[in-house]
Amino acid sequence: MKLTNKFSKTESNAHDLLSIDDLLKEIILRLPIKSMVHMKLVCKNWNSLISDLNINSPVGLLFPYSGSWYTYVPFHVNDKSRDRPFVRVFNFIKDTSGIRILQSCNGLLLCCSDQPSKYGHKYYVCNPTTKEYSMLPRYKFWWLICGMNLAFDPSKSSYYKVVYVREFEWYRYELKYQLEIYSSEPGGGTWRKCGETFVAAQVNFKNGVYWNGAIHWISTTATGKSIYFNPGDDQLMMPKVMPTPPILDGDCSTRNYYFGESRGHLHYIDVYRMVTGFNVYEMKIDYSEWFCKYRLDLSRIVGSNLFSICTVVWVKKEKDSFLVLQVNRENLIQYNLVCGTFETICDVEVDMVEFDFDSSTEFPLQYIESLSRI
Amino acid sequence: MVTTDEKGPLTAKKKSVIIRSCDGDEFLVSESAAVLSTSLKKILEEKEDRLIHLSDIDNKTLAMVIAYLSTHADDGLSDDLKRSFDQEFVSGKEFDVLKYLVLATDTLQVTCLCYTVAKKMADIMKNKLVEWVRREFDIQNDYTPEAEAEIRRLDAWAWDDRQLEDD
Repeated sequence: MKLTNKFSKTESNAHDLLSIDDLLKEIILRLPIKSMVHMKLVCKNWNSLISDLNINSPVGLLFPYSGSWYTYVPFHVNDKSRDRPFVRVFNFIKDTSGIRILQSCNGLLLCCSDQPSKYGHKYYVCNPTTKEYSMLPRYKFWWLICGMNLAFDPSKSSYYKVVYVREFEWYRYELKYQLEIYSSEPGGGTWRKCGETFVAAQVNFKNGVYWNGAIHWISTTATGKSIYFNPGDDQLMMPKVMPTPPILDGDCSTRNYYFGESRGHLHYIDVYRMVTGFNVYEMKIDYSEWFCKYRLDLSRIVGSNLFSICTVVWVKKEKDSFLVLQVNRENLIQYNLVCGTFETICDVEVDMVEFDFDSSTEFPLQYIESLSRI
Repeated sequence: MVTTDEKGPLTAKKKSVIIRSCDGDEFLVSESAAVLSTSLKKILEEKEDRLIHLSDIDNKTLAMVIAYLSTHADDGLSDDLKRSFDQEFVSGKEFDVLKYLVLATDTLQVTCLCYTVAKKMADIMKNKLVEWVRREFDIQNDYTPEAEAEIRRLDAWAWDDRQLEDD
């Protein structure tokens, strides 16, 4: 039998660990997503292989650059030849004021118009891979908005939900909040009020993170509360309290933090300015505590330069998991969390790209390529 | 044909194995290079046999894999050098050659070479017509024209104004 004929058949050789289909997957996975979709036409077997591929994996970081322009920096996992950073334009969303990306959630992005209209900012959910988008219905009390958050998990449902948090009233010196939910399910209609009003001292509703089926908001002050809310749980329509991250003392101007999710892991990192040692905390799945997952000291990498944590990326094989940090506002470094190796993945001068570090987005967003429909 | 892995007299004392391709050519390989292949490592652990016969890898392909293994077994080379070797290794190779290589890396279980070759194959395939891919992989089109149109319709976003090559 000619070796190459193996590709046209599905039988596998006795000592092949991978079947030919697995080998084909290795090749197909390395195609750009559009080519991958084209290859569905090759034959029925390829179509089913491609439809089964789980391509919802973090592939890069999006940094605001200017208007609807974002600098995209691809990650580098195992593949030694990687793409260079380039600019992605989000002008497929037709909004005359341009758009800003607020949140990235399992392949979909939550965006809003750059400038408010008469009725506040317009909000959009989009998939930049398929360039599909949908504008969310108009929401009431737009002047009281505290945060808008996307909840989407394609492994559970092909529909997404958006949670809108707004101020409700002051009651005995405490500010009360109200949640509203929009669902993309057919017949989901418009915003609906959800549960009673609640108190949430010093919670930052701008940076909600979707993890474990719920949206999580933390307080970045030692005295504040941290809460989470599961929009899919119809029984309990109120946010629950979760342990506050281990916040360092000191005011916000001398430290920066990272709060994010990757492949089912919720992380929190707090870094003092000019201190190169820090801990990577992870939340236990039962919400019992934040535990210290990694203790790092980056002095040999950052020296006395300013640095901040961009993201933590969990990879299927834990030994490949890494974090990305910005050093001196110029270089992006990918640092392996397990073995401590590192490499520069973007150099502003070499790659001729620009970031806008003073944007309202607190940290750059992990971009995940997916074929999820809006 | 017996080739050494060019490691010089210093390492000549190290244990070697002989690997025979399906067309009968034999290659002398240092054990440190051979064990980078998970399959060869298992064979060597199981029996003391110094001659390994590979019934489905031809001599040209085997020579390439062995060159790769020997380079990666060389402790004197930095990771950066090995990385640029990898790029050199796959550049300019015909798609047909890469197909044999990727099958061989799978039989021999050399994961990192498998990834490098798969990436190169994907780079070649990415701007090709579906017909080109079918030809190269010797695959029969089992769709009806209606089924083809339906697949294109479902992923209409991916089929806008793209220039694809057929050679």
